[in-house]
Amino acid sequence: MTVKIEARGVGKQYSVGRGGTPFAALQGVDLDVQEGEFLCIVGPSGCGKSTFLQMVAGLEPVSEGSLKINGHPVRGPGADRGMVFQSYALFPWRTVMGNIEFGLEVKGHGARERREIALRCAHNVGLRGFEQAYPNQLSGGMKQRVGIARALANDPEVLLMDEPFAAVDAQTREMLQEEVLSIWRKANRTVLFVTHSVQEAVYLGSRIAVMTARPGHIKTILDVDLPYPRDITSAEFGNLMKPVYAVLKDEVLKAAHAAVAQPSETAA
Amino acid sequence: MSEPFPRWQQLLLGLAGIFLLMLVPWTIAVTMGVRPIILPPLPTILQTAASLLTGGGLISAALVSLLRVNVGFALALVTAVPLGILLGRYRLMFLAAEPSVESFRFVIPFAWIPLAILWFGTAETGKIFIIWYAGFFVLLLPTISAVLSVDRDLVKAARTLGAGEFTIFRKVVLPAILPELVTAMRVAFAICWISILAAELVASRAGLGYLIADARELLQTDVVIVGMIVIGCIGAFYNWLFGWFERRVGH
Repeated sequence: MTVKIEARGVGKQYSVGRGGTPFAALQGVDLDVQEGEFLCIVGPSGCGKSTFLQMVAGLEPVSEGSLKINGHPVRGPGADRGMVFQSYALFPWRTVMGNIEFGLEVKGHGARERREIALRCAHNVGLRGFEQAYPNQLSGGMKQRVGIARALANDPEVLLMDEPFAAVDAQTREMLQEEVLSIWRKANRTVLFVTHSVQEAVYLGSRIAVMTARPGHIKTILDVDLPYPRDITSAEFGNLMKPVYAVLKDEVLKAAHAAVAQPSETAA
Repeated sequence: MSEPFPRWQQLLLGLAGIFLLMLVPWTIAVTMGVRPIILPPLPTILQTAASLLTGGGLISAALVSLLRVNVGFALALVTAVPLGILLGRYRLMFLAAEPSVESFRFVIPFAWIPLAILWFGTAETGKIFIIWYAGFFVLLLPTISAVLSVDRDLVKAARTLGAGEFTIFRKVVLPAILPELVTAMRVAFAICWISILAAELVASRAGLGYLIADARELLQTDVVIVGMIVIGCIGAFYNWLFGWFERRVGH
C-alpha cells in the first residue's frame, strides 16, 4: 500500500487569538493515510479535526510541520481532492446539474461532455429526476447528494468529507452512509471522513483516528476489522465502539475543562 | 411577498390616489381663483404638454437627460462593483479605502457642481462626472457589505473544485451578491436621476433640468410643471423596471 496523505508534525496557529495571544488549534499531527482506505477522524468539538481536513484540502495554510499528498507538499486546493461540506455549500443560483458541472466548467470541458459526466454523477447518487431542481427545492439529504456528486464530477483521488451528514435526519443519514461506502468501493478512492459520531466512524471507516482535545493531535489509530456491510446492532460492532468511546471520552472531558471562551457545542 | 389585492385593483387604487390627492385639490385651487402664473389650470397643462411633445422640445430634452444619466450610471456601475468586490474580499484594501469612502459619501453630488464647472466647464464631461459620483458611493457600500456576507463555504467549495480568484469573482461572488446589487442599483439610479436634473438646472443648455430652469426665467409655469411631471414619470418607470428585475433575481 502506498501512502496518499502524509502528515508530519502538522500544526496550526491562529495569529489573532483570543486576547491577542496566538493560540494553537493543532499541534504535532502525525498521520499516514493509505491509498484506497476509508479513514475516519473523530475527536471532541473544537479539537481541530475540521481544520486538519481544510489543510489537506489546501484551504488553510499549514503553520508548521509538513503535509504531503502523493509525496508533494500541499500548496493550495486542487482538483485531485474533492470536498464535501457539512453546510452543503451548494450554489443557490445554479440547478443541480449546474452545481455538479461547476468543476468541469472550471477545467474547461465542453458543454456536451460536462452534461454527460454530470448526468452520470447525478444518477450515481440517486438524483435522477432532480437534474433541473434548484437547491432550495431539495431536502437536506438530496442537497448532500448534490454536494457529493459535485465533488465526484472532478474525479478526485481523495474525497474529503467534513461531517457531511451531521445536519440530515437519521434515516437519510443511514442511506447516505450506504451510498458513500458503495462510491468508495466502486472507484477505489481514498476517503478522509471527519465526524463527531463514534457509531458513524465505526460503521464507515476501515481505520479510525481519534484526536485529542485542543491543540489537537492524533491520539490513537484503530483498525476496524469488520467486513462490510456492517451491522450496527451486532455484538462485534458494539465491541469495536467501546475502545473508541473510551479514548474519546477522556478527551471530551479534557476539552470541557479547558473550554473557557469556547462557543457551546455538544460533543458526541 | 403576498399580494392581497389583484393587479388591476392595485392599479385602480393608485389612479384613485392620484385623482384624490393631486387632481382634486389642484382643481379646487384653480376654481378658487389662484392665478395661472402660480398654478395653471389642468387643461392648460395638457395643452402645453401636447404642444411640447409635438414640437419636439420635450422629447429631445428628456432624451438628453436620459442619455446623460444612463452613461453616468453605467460608468458608476462598472467602477463601483469591481472595486466593491475587491474591497469586500481584501481586508487590507478595505482598511486603506474606508476613511475616504466614509467621508466622500457625505459630500452630496450637488456640492460638486461648482468644482465640476471649474474643471469641465459646461461640457458633457462635467455632467457625467456628477452622475458618476452620485451613483458610485451608493453602489460601492452595498457591494462591499454584500461581498462580506457571501457564504464563505461557497468560496471554499469553488476553490476545492479548482476555481482561481477570477473565476470565484465571476462565478461565485458576483451571482451571490446579485440580489443586493440590483436593490442598490435601484436606489443609485434614483439618486443619479435627481442629480442630473440638479446639474442641468445650473450648468446646462439642454435636458429636462434646463427646460425647467429656462421656463422659470420666462415665467412659463405650465412648462415647469410639465417638466416636473415627466421627471416623475421617468423616475417611476425606472423604479418599476429595477423592481421587476429585483423580483427576478431574488433567490
